[in-house]
Amino acid sequence: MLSIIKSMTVVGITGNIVFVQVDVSNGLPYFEIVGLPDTIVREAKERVRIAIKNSGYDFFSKRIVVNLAPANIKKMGALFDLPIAIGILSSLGIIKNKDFDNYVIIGELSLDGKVKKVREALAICIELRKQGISNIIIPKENEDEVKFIDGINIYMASNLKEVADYFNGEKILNKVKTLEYSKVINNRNYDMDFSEVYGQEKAKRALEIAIAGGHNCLMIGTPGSGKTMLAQRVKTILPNLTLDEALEVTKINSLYGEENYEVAIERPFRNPHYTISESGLIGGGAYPKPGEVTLANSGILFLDELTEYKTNVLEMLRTPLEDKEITISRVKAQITYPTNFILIAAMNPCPCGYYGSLVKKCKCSERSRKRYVEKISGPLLDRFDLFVDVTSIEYSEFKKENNKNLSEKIRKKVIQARNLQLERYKKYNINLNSELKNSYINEFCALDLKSQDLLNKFYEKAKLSARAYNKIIKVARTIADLELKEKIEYKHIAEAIQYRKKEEIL
Amino acid sequence: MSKKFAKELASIGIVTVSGMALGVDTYVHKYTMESGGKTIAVLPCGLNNIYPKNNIELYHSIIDNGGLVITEYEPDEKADSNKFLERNRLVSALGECLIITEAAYRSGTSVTARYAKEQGKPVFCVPSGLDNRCGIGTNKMIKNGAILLSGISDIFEELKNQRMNEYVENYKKNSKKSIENIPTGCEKLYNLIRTEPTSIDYIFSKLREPISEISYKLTLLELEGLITTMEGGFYEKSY
Amino acid sequence: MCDENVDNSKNIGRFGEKLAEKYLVKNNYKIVEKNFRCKFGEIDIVAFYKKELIFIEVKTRTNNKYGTGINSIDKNKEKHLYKTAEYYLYNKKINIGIRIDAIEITLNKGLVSIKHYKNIILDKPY
Repeated sequence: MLSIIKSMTVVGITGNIVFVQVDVSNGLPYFEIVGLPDTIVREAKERVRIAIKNSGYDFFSKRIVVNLAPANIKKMGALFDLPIAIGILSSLGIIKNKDFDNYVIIGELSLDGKVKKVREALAICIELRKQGISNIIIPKENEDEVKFIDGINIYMASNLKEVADYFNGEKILNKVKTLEYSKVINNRNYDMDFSEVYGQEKAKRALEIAIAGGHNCLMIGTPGSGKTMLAQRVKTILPNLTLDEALEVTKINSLYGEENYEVAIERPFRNPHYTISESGLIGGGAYPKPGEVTLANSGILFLDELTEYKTNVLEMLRTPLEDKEITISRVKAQITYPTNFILIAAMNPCPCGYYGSLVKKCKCSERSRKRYVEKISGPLLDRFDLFVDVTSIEYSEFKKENNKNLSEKIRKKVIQARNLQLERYKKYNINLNSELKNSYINEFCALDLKSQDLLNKFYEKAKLSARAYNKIIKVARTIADLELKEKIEYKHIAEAIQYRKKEEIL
Repeated sequence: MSKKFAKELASIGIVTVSGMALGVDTYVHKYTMESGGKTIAVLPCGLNNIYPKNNIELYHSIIDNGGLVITEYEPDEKADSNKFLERNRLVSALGECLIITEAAYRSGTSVTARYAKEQGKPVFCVPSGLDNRCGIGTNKMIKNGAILLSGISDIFEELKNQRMNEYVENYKKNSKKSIENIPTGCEKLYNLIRTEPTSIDYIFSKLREPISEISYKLTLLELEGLITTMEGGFYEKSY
Repeated sequence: MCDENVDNSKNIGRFGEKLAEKYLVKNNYKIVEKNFRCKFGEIDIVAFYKKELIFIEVKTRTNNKYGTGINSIDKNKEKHLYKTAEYYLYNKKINIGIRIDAIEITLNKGLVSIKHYKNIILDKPY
């Protein structure tokens, strides 16, 4: 007898419907799974058989054929154990009520019949919402990560028998209780603060602008000046994740991040070591997995010691930065991953690190310094909107008062600026000033005469490119937003100019 | 300091004289030319054996910029320590006065100062803090009668004569121009910026304005040519 | 030299099969066929029980010197059993449950022990 159970598999980060077709008939004992299963899916035979037996059902020897349709998508993961077992029980007549049409079922089975956690649960539940299917049965062990999804009925299963009983009308399965995401996220305490970095006011301001408008920022400075400390503290000025962003981030983490993933309550901060490979950074592998640029989606990618990364690896950053997504093509599959992050990088100005320092003398020749800086290609440098010097200074030079809640103050400003942008770009499919296409600059970043004059004066003196010209305007737009000003004023342009590349400054 | 004085003197039209040695001499020639002025180099060697070798480019650019390179010696003669001292007497002789920006304990510069005294030229020395090794000589000379140089106007004071008047006029004109050009609201900031590299954090701690204000004013001052950005993100008064 | 042994084991084997048959009948199994042979191999007993057709392999041992009976059914033997069963079913329109069992008979100083293993093959062994 044929039973069809709905399930799902994850391709890249998107769920795809899979029909688990189970046929049980008389004949010599036989158990085969077809439909492009990977090794784990093929091993389901053993798990399912024993789990059924240990759930108290007589597993009569039968001829069982399981087809996972559609046949041309590769099926991966242990999540098909449960739907296959249910299909078999249904075909054997042990489950009598055949109302499977309205349910998607996923779950791994252990030999004792218990239903075990799967990594794909969140990704699949998110997809369900989009596809308009309203019921899903998932392992109870996945409860924590799905409790912020509403609009669908998520039933929790602890063991095979209770699912069978549920379909026979003999038992109820508990539903996941939805939780309001805002409740979890609003009372957050950070263990770091911007005020822990002494001085470096300009760098702090640059990072404030960077986060407010989504501008990529490069810090150039002497060793020990606080570049790394500043970058690590950027997470204290990031605005909260929206529910959709949190689900997306958690989805990516659950599929490809660390083992003990949890529902994301803060934005990702990825800091890969400079020995990272191409596929580690942007993704790859036979069946393409996402890289750091995707794990940093909705958050920050921090590259410390930018000059130490392999050139070919850095060059691969251009597409993710430009398009906010990357498509990885391999023989087996072609998958597109999101890469919407803010890039923050730090580097020394020369091989010894002390060029420009008043505290220590630079030992590098002009030629070696030039060669060192040229390691970062022009096109990559072009992706940065803000350049700021972070040089060690004498202690006596700092303003002594310790601004204890500096991060919180900056964050409030950042959130206000972001809200302005959200409102402004509501109908335009972008969220931040940095994403503004050049054709829209006139519309949203109109300059008054004085600003225009100032910018032109600088343009001539510094021999700017058109791209740099537009970048200054976008940064000025963010600076104006931080002051809650509707129109860009000449002082915003003047400040934006402070963050340009050294060669462009007079 | 050599840079500062070279630029200031050059920008009011005064010609500088030095020995094209590495260090102070090089700065003097370089920054004179940077400010559009002319400079004279006196060499301790023949013109076919330029010393120091590293300054051959400087030698060429001095000539290219309308300056002068002279030497007492035959074209093939090589430099030696005697010639250094001999050359210095000419450097001092060619100028209206001698300016010494740094001198270590028992340096050859004190010999040059002696020449200047013999020639009747005023000797100006820039004072140093006590922990500056390069200031031991200059401080001693001041004690022994050299004139303390704290600014270009000291030179005008000392050399009061007809020919200097033209330069004094130029100087006054330049200063006035600078002050007139300061954009509104930026005066306090401009005055805080020193002639050596000044950090933003220093400015921030003294000025008590938000960093965004300071930043935009710095751009305005830069566009007017009143200050320059240095490596490392420091700012300096331009000349 | 080994003739005696061979004879012996053949006799022991046949003796075991007879015992197995008796045991099955006692338990309400209906014997359908005995010693079905074909080019793939041989099936000792084909029986019918509670709407299921059962192919039974009988292993008789007098001692444990060469391993217990059931363990001598290796992958190769499984393959032959399965293929023989397939051949048996070929062209027969049988739509009932099919099982492959093994009965292990141990003879030790006049004592007989019978072990009936049900469902020894659950999947195609090749």
